[in-house]
Amino acid sequence: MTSNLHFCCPKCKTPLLEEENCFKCRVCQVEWSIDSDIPSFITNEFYWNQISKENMNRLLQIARDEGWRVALEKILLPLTNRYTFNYAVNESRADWHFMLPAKTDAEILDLGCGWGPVTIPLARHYRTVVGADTTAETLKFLQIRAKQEKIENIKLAHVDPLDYGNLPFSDSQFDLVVMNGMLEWIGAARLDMPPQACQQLALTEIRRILKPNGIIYIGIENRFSLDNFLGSGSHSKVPFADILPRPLANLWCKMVGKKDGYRTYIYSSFEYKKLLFQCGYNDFSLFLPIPSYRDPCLIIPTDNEKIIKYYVEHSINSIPKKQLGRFVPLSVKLFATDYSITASAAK
Amino acid sequence: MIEKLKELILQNSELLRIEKTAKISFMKVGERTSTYASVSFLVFLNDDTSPSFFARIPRVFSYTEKLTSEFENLTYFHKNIKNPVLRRSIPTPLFFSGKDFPVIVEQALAGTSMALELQEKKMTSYFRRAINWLMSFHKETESQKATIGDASFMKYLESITGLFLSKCDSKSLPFFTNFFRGLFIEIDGFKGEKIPLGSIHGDFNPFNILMLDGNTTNIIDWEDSLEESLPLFDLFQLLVVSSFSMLPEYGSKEERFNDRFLKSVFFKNLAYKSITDYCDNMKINIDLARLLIPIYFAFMANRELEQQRNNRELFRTWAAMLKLYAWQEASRFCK
Repeated sequence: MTSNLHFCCPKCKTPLLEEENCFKCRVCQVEWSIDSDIPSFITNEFYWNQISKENMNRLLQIARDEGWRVALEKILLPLTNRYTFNYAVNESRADWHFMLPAKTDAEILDLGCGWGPVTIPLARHYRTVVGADTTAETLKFLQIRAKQEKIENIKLAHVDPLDYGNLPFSDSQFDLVVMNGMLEWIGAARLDMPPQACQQLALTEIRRILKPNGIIYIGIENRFSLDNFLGSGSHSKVPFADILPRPLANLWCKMVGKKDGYRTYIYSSFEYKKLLFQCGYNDFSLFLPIPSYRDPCLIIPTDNEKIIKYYVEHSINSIPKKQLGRFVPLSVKLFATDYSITASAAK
Repeated sequence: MIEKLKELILQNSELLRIEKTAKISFMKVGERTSTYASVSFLVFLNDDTSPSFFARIPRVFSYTEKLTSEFENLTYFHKNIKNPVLRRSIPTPLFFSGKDFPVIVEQALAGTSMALELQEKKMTSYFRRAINWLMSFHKETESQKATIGDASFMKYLESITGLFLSKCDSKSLPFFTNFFRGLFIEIDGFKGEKIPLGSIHGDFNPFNILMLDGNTTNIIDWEDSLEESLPLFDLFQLLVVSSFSMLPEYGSKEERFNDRFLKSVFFKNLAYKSITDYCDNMKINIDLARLLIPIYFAFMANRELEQQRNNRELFRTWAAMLKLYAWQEASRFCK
């Protein structure tokens, strides 16, 4: 690991001492191992992936022997579907970064980096990208992928779920922290706190590691999307749970057999702004990623109503252009499926 | 990144004829694509209701080859196309910034991608207009007529199939080798027939055809165009890509190609009519034109393995479509 990334103890935040094959906290006397150049700061084994651990290990072997793309074609594609395959491969998933004010010398943290389709394109443009994930196997895959793509400015870290707000990075290190499809899951792994409190804890922890005026990027669903009103029930898979008041949503989820209740909180644009403000962020900007934040074709800034209007005119030809008053751009913004959000860390 | 793009546009304000104090906003546009493709932005000035410019940045800065060729191709066609209507339909290149921060800025265009509305009820009229554009372009840029049996032309066709065979997996190689051998015997049967050669757009598909009020207004994405090739490839590209891009989208490209291009009566009739109209107008023997369809598939597959693209998955997709075509259609077309 190069010296410009500084780790701290996830619990007491004391800077860690690097020893042979481990990091050590002199206060807690805890050692954190380094396995194949990936420091591990986890307190509990955790595995989340689209395929089983056994298949993932087969995939890793093929990635080493025949290349990362071949491995995904041979294992991930037949076991899942083309959408998941593209989800793992398509670098256009990170196209939102072109819309951010980040400079090429930025230090970036990609939380929940998974297969690396966001980490890799960011590393092609910025100084350093740290990929952090809770699953060791996907980090190993990303390590292989980066090596085969001849990308040398990616560093990896194996971390606990963000629900505990224990990131092992020292204060004010990053210019940009990425949470692409991440925030909504915070609260699902920790049942002793309400999901929103877990999310606040995580956002506050992220603000700690951001440089003054550093940016947080969040790609996430809109609570009041048209799809949710039509009963799609995004992450909970329970129709209408997202749009109901939280206590009712919780009850509704339990009634339909979800024993932990409703825990994947998403919000409206106003609620995201409020949540971020409460956690010490300002300069809130909202973009509409279309069709989804997961792999956006279009990214529309919402601060210019005329651009939204232009999009509506050119994508839905059946709408008479002269009848496009203020209502349509506003509705597009309020009922959009997903949002791409940026905010700055106020220090 | 966007700040740098803003800065670059303002630095070129004189060339772009905009005020140095203009307020600039961007909207990212384009498809979900792989690494090599560029990222495109519509550039809005002040409170304008439509974009003034179209800016393209390579997704990977070191992959500037395609962006450079787009700029060179646009400049070439703007200089050499005499027909003013045709010239207007080609984007006007304004500047290419160079390798440190590679950006092409073009004049923004009016219209919506034909792919957004590609449904059966609209396709016949859309195709007629798109093919009319194609015929004017190919007529204007025709350089010579090749003769079937002429050594250099046959060598050109064989170079395409040869390269394809060299990249094919060993399992499919015997099938394709036999197929192309049979195909060339069929083509030889047309000895002496003439076929026009000239410029091709190179990616003439519904995503790159802009329409306004039902008319073809602009053709975009000229990075794959070639000064000297087989213009029929543009026609085949329109037909094949439309078959798998038509709405609704489902399954894989191969599945949609199979269901529509090879099985749908509507699509077959549309393809037949399009090829007939084009061939009549360009004075090409239609049976000969159909024999060149498999060579087009090989041409497209080869392109996916070019340096900087190197997309084996898409190579396999084109090869799979060729195989489907060969199984189901070639026996009829090749007699």
